[in-house]
Amino acid sequence: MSWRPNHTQSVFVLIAAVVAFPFFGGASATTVMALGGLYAIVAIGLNLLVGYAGKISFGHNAFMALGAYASGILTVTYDWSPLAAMLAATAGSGLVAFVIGAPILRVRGHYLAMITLAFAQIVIIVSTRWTEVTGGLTGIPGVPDFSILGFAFDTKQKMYYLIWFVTIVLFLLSFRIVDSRFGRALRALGAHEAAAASLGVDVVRCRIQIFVLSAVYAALAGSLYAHFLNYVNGTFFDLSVMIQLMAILVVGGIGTLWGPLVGAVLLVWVSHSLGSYAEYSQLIFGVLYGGALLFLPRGAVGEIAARLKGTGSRLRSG
Amino acid sequence: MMDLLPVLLVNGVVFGAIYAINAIGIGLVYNTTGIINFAQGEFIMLGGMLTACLYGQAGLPLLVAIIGGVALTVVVGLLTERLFIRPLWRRGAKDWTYVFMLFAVATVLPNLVMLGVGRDPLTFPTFGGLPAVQLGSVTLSSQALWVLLVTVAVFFALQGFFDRTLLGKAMKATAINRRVAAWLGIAVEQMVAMSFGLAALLGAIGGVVFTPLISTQFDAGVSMTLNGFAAAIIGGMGNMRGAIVGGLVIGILQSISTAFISSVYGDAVTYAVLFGLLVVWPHGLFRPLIELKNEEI
Repeated sequence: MSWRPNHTQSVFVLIAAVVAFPFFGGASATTVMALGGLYAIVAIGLNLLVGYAGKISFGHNAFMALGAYASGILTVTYDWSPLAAMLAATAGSGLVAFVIGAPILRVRGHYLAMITLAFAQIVIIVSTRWTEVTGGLTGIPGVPDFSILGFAFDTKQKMYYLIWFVTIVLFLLSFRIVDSRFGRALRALGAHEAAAASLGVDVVRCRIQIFVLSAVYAALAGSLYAHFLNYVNGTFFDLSVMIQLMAILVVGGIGTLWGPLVGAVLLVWVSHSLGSYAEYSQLIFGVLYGGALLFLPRGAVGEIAARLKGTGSRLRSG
Repeated sequence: MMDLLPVLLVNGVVFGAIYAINAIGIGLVYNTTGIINFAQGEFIMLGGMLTACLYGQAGLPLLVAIIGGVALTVVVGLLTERLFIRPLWRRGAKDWTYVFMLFAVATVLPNLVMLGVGRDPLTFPTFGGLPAVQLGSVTLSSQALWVLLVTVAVFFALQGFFDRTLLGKAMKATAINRRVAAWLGIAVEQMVAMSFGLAALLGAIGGVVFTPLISTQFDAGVSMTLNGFAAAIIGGMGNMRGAIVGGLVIGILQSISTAFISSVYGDAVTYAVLFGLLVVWPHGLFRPLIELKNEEI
């Protein structure tokens, strides 16, 4: 008789671990874990898109960039309050995602993947070259600390708690989404599009909604990133970030709720431990997720869940 | 301004040729598998880089280096299918898995090249043997002529292959309906392997004729993939004649936008056009060879 944690228990353990971590981990480890939380936010959204709706984006690094730049520019150049800037940044990015997704997601096949890749290239080109607005390669220094109603998140540790609070809220929200009517439609869509459509699922609308939602998650993470580092730079959001996100998804387990969270925490430490080998990060993450696709198709969480259920690891999926 | 136009057009046509070859390569893989090959541009980069290495560092004669570079790239293409695509195929993986996998290949290959060769752009001498051609006020260099001739030769060779040979017909049958092709005794897996080998061959040939014109470097593949994809979209996925037209359209557009709008945003303009095209004509100006069916990837 093996012990299986239920979801509520697992979530409480997660919250306890998140709260306790800074007291045991120390300052630099807390900073790393805060970055892990940021990646987890993007990965949770991407997981809904890829794992449940079966569509791919190679451009979520660009939505992070949009969120970060919008927050940076609005707070530094236009003196907006961080919260207002964050709301505008996420809403604006969602709108951009809608403009991209609405026409492309009507088409079958993986055109979204190619278009988002092209979109990300454009965003990176523009962000590093449009010097008057984005500061070019120098970026935007002096982004103020995040604050709500006069309470400033002025230390890395406070930001850590803010980031993980958002992460956990979005994580729980993803549970709700997956279990909702919308989530069931989404899963039907990922499993078999024609069948889903014939059962009355508005396939195109569903896909667009989930794409926009995932872009909003990414922009929110980008905005938090800008306040966390007090600095925005286009090179923070280049293709390497997207590759790391894909590694997080695949290693953690695509289409599992805990996968993005576990993947993000695991891989942020891999990334951190690279240190002076950071040059090889693309190579390492590429090999890591290519290998995981071949040898660990359900990802770490999918594999563990299957073992706990006692169905063995021979089940084929992914 | 207007006297620049002929030069830009000719330049655009030469660049368009490489995009056309790329679009045909993307179409070949798409036809047999329904997968968009995100690693197609890497084959172009590899063909150029490997040849440059064999010529410059190993000191081989140019012709031997070219043959070696092309052969090695084809091996990489075949290995990609064998090691990374076939296992997914056999376990019946979901379609996004292939896209992820090819993206991993497109990530790892340039990084390996960077480790082995470095970040510097490499090139090798022009082939020579053909005269430069004077077209009114524009001179078409000997290497540019090579690019155009090889593109035309590749086009007709492939047409002959698909129309005249049994193997080519079997590949075409696989493209049109995989299941029926299997019932007819066509070894579908081998056709898929063939399509990756051919795509790598096309990429390598493109890389080899093109590299003497502008040089190449480890990270040149992504924009090649995107431009080839744009050409393939305009031409209708898998439609060879369409791919040629699409390549020329993208090449000319890029050449003109680089000159008149901004060299910095040249690529951005192409991507913006690609996006606009997909919005207006998602299926391209020409009909694709096959419409993607739902139950197949």
